[in-house]
Amino acid sequence: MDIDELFGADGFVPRWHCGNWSDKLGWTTIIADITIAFCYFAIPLVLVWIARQRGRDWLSRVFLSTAAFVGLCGTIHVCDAIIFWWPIYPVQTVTKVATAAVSFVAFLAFLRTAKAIGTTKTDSQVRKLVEERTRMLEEQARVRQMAEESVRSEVERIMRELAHDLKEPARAIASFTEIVLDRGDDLDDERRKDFLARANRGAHRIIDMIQEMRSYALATAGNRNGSIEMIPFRKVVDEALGRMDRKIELSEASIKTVIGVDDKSLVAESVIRVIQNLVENSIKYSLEGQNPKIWLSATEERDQVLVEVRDDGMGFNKESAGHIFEPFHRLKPHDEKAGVGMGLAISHNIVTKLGGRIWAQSDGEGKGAAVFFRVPIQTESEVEDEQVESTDGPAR
Amino acid sequence: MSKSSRLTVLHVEDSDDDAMLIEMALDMASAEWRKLVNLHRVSTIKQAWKFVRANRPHLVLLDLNLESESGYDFLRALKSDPNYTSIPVLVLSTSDAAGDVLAAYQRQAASYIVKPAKFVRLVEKMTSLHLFWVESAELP
Repeated sequence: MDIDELFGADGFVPRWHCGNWSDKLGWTTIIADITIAFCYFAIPLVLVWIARQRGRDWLSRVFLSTAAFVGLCGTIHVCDAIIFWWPIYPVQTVTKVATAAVSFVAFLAFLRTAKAIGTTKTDSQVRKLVEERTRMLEEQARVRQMAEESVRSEVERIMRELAHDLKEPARAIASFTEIVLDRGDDLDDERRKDFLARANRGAHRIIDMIQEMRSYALATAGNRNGSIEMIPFRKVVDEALGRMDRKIELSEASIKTVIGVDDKSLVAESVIRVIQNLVENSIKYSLEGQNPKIWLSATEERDQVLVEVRDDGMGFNKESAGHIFEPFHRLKPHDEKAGVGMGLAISHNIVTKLGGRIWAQSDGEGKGAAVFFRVPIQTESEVEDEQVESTDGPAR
Repeated sequence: MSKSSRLTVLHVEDSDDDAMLIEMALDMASAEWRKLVNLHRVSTIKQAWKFVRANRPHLVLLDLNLESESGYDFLRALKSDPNYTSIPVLVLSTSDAAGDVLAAYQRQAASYIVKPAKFVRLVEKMTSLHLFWVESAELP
């Protein structure tokens, strides 16, 4: 088909002369065709404009083939209008063939993306998903923040208490030495000695506090990086009481131990410190002028051991019950005997680190106290099993 | 001064050292105070209540950081008891934290005095405390 043939109208008549067209019908058809053509040309332009605004992703096969398809449809309608005067039926046929080809490409493109479009999340689905994920992240952040805050407030509280508790003996040292230095000559020997003794006690108090703080920090950091050494529970009790020998002797305390724990049951070595602290407290908080009586008992409960340290000492009231495991808490107005109030806090930390629990009971002031704690135990055979496993492990 | 009888002052302080220092500072501050004041020191809140009920002091010196018992609670309870609302309470504390000071005044402390590290400063503070509360002020 050459150009002449294409645009040649031989054998055709203009549409006006083909059939009985009234002016009204003809012009309505022509105007409608031109309007459709105008819109069909305009739509691809708008599509291209959108694509340029939106960027590369939008210039997809579906998009371009649709634009071409719509544009070609417009051309067919233009031909329809022209045919009223100039019967270019071959041109229209060629245009239709081209449109058919492009429409088929568009159809295939649609078909190919139909699956993807079907599984792609709609906006509202995406929004919901994003909201859910956001909520989850916010919740996680909130929990983390709360944990951080509680650690921070605990640290702040300890720092505040430490500052206060250190200030007191420091002030005593400063003041009493100041008095001796400035007015020593006016004081008799006895007074001077008394003041120096008070300053000295203050200094020792500060040293004790620093040591206790160190123990507390160690107990807190504790087995974070190292393995826990497990030793037989009986050994733990013997060691704890052994360390207390002198204090027990001095206070003339009587200690009765009832150990219902298998010889092969092992607990973490750090439990020595807990028992030591509890017995020490029982001696410390004994009633004035009375030799403390202490009962230490332990019972095995499946994979845990329950230890109870009971005394007939000062006890504590309900208000104190919630605070006695806090650092620097002392039940007794301080004197040298009372220490710095870290014993139970350290014990609490050790037990918690081991995954156990510690709690205290008292019927009230002057009615004695009992502290209980539960920590996990292992039997010797379990430990051996673990060792065998670790020798087989890839680490070796 | 117009006072006809000696003032009863309750000193609530759990630290023996601090109680002694304050008394010594008062001695240095005024040769007179022992003639004008009956100073009674207790070391627990329990003893403080016992004394307040039995003797109704004119003035209370309160150490805020008593072990195991909060001086704040005592202050609040004392001030909310109509019988004792009018007793001025002077808070003595180690802490100079703004929060502690505010908390004391919110609970109607009559004044808040930080215990200084230097004994001479304590003597100064006790001098002004004596001059104002014992020599100058009228107490209910």
